[in-house]
Amino acid sequence: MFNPLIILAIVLIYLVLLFLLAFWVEKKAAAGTNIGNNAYIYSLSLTVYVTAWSFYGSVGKAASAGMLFLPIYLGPSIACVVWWTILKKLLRIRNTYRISSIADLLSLRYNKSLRIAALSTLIMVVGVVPYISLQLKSIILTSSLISQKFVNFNMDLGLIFVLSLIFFTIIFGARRLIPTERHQGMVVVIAVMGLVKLISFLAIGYFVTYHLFTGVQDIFTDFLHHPGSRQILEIQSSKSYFFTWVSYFLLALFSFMFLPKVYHMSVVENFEEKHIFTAMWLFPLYMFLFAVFVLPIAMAGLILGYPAAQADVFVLALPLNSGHPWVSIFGFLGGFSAAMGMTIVSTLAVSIMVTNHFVLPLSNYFKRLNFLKRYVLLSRWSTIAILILSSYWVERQIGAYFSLVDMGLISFAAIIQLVPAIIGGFYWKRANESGAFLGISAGFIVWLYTMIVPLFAQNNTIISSLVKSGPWGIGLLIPEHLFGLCSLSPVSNAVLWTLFFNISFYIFGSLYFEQAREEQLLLEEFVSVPVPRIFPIRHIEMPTIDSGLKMNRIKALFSQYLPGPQAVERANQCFFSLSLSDKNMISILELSDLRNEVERLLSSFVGVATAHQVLINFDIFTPEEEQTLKRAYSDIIAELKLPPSELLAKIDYYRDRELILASQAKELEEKIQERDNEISTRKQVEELLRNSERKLADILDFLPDATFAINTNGEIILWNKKAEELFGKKASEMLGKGNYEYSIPFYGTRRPALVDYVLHSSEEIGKMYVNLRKEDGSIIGEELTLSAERGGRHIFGTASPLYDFEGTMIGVIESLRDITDQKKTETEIMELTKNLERRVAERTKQLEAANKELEAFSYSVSHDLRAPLRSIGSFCQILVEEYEDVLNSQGKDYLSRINNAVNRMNMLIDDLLRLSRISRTGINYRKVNLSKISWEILSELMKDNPNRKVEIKVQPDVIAECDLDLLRIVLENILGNAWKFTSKKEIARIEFGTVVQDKKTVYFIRDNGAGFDQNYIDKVFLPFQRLHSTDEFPGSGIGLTIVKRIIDRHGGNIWAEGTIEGGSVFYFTL
Amino acid sequence: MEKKKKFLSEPGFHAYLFSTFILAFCLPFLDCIIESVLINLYGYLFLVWAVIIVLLFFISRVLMDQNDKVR
Repeated sequence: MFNPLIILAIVLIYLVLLFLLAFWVEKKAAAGTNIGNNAYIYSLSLTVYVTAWSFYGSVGKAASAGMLFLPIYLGPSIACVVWWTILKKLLRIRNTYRISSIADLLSLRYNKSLRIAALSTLIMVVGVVPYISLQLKSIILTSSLISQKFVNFNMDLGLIFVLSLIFFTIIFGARRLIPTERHQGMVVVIAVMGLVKLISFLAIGYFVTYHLFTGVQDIFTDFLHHPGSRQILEIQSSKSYFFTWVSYFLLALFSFMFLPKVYHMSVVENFEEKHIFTAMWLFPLYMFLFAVFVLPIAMAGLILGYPAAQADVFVLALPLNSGHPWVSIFGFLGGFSAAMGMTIVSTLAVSIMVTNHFVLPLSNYFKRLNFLKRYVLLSRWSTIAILILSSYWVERQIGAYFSLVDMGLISFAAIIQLVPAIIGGFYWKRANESGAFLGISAGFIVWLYTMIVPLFAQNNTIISSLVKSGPWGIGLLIPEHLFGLCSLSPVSNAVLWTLFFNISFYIFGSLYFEQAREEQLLLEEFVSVPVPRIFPIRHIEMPTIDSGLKMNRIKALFSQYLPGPQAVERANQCFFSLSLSDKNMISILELSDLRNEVERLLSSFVGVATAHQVLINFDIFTPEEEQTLKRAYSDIIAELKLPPSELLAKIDYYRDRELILASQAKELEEKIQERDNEISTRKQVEELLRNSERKLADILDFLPDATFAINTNGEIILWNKKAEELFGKKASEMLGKGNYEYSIPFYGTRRPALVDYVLHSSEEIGKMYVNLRKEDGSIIGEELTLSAERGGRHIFGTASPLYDFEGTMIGVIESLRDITDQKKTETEIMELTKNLERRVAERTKQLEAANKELEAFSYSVSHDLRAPLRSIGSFCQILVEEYEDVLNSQGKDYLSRINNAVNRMNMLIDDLLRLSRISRTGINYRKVNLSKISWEILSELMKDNPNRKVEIKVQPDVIAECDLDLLRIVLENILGNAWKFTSKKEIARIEFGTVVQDKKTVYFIRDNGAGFDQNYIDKVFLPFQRLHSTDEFPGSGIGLTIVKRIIDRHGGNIWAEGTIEGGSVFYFTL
Repeated sequence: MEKKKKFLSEPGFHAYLFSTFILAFCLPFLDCIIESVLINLYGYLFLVWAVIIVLLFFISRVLMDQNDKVR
């Protein structure tokens, strides 16, 4: 238990904190940061629906009637399924017409009717008072509960709370004059209050369920043995229970959207339409969480022995009496938030309605009250104060006799009287002001009779008698059982009959009375019905002006600046461009357009400023026409019912819009042009593509090889003429077919081919081909077909992947060539080659044998020739020695010649044998220093002829890979020749060296000897051929032949250059 | 997915849901349970309610997407 001052202090601190929060939010909003522009804050602000009724009253209802508390939560949750469609419409209407309340909305829909607005306001005022009373009752009841022991506290705590409520309601919500402005501070505060409500209620629910009991199941089980359980079951089984359930459900379902507090938060305070979509699931979830612990708390209270009559305060009493007062204080703050939130928003919304639809119209009507116009804000504050104070009075009068829920239902039943007119206004185009007024009035009167009159029965005997027996004792008119329906609960009875009369009068009234013109104008906004043209053709659209006269005036004007024919042409152009050429009479509007066209055309050649000045002084309008035009403008402005400032604003708006539209149209035109160009280019490309495809098809048909292609799915996409011929199948039969169809005509069965190997290089497919290889991305393979039809044919295939421009493989192409004939020819050639090689080998063998025989013969001939020569030589010697005296000089000379010939013959035979030997000797390659050998040979020659003057030049360390003995013979011959042929020179020069030609080492021996005639170069290396006589330079003529043979055997070349008496050069390579 | 989204955003589907849930909370289903043990009624009502909230969540996501696309 707490001291009332502590409770008051806690509440005041809480309110001050909320106020600071609101102040901070407003400050941020002024700086441009809209904290209230948030879907979750918007959704939480809608929880203003959850009031003290839900916080305390639901538990009270659950304790007495079981689940009957729930329809008040379920109704709005179900409404959310379709609510958003209506809410979107409401938001758009609010944005267009700046409406600030339900009364405004109804008034707007029904011909801006003041009486509808006033009636709606009256219902709201009367309806909201019991609702606020409920909130006050809850605050008074709970505050006295948690401070009950301090009986010495003399102050009226309830009144203090009431005054605080008035103060904070004004500073939270009613500080601004313009009601359509958003109150971000208030919205955020309501959202925070929503959280406080939920958390505190869940905390108490959890405390009761899991602290006082062991869980929900435990409570339900215990409650089964409680007498209250039977009582609830009896109530649930009663006849009226179901109707009451449905009544509560429908009341909550329909009144939810149009309760002033919910309407204000959901429509007036909404920032963005899309926030609705978050609210449509978050709000039902909030309700769900709130309702979960209602029944367990109620049952727990009953189980713990609390009387059902005190169930409204179970929420606080249970933790308080179980020794947890701070949990109760937390709960109290939650309940206070629920009551406070509702009071702030409801009184704010209703105060706006009262000011706009009562106070201001009255001040217009009664001149004495004119001063009120200057005190609109004060008027609102006063309304708030009066509403809260009158609610406090009502609470004091009847609060003790009714539960919280019963009081709340009275309000719901009042609000629901506006629902038929609102929903009908949205969906029934025939609905009109009279019907709405009649319907609402009828419903309201029945509501007063069935719900309000019984409220005062407790304190008034006349009313009590009326409620018990009906007026003048007519039982059918008993307010709570109207027309004898005794089985219904009072609430069901009231809901049924109020709605019956309301809807009936609404429908019949709307059908009976005609719709006003203004109402039809607004149909499109509300019912989405296209509005027909509302005004008949005006006099300004009537063709009353002679176009011929105007044509002459325009011609005359143009004639001032242009030659005659051109002036006429321009004048005609003006008429033509406005489609007035065929009209004899034109309207004043058309004449006005004509004037603008003339100015536009004139400015094209005199400039804009001059044209404008000329047209100012150009009397195309007669004074009467000018008057007509002025009148037309006045009429239009009058019809629009707009103040000049708003008209100008609208004109500016439409001009801007026209500019934007023109700019967009231009952009659109450019885009269309671009698109046209693209299409044109695409067509050209497509044409080129078609041509290219045609050419490609021709080329493919022209190919000598059978060619086909498949896509990656294995379907045939190409089949050329050669393929048709080879496979005997037409392209038309094959194209588009898959599943190895291409193999059937060729192999006689479905099997993979080379194309499949390219797609999926499997070993199995590879085995079917011989010489399978990859070249430049293509797969090449050969195979011997085994099919019945084409068995034994050799096929050469090439397959290659096909790629698109992005490099993705899109298929495979394969060409097949029958190479059976080629293979046959290849086999024959191979056979021939083998034969030839065999024959060459045989011939070579024969030739080698013949050579050997020839060599043996040469050797034996040479050898055998030596014997007779030796005899001739010996006998010549004997003759010279023994018959010297007998022979005369001539005989001696002959003998000498014979002897020389024999010697020469011997020398020739020796050379021949040497040549023969060289041809047969094997070559022993090794590294040989040719420079050293050259020096040795030349030194030897110098030793034999010491008197000769010879300049010798040998390049040092010339190394060659060759046979030492054979190269020595080469050098002896060439250097010997050089020595010999330079013998007649006074100073001989012999040089050995190397040069590099074509990256090869060329050895040379140069001398300055007798040289030779270059014309006889062919004879130099032939055997027994000499270019000088033996007398001049002795020799056998076989030396250079031997040299050539040796060089040939080394795989080299030898050649010579020379001039007569100019020396010679011998070159050789190895 | 697009088909499901379109289905969830159809006003006809919302009207159907609205009617179905009204039935679920009124006639004839409630009539059967209302006279049984309290816990059965409690369980039934909160279960159906939870289903509604889940459906509303998905519908709201779809509607929000559509709203963003329109903008």
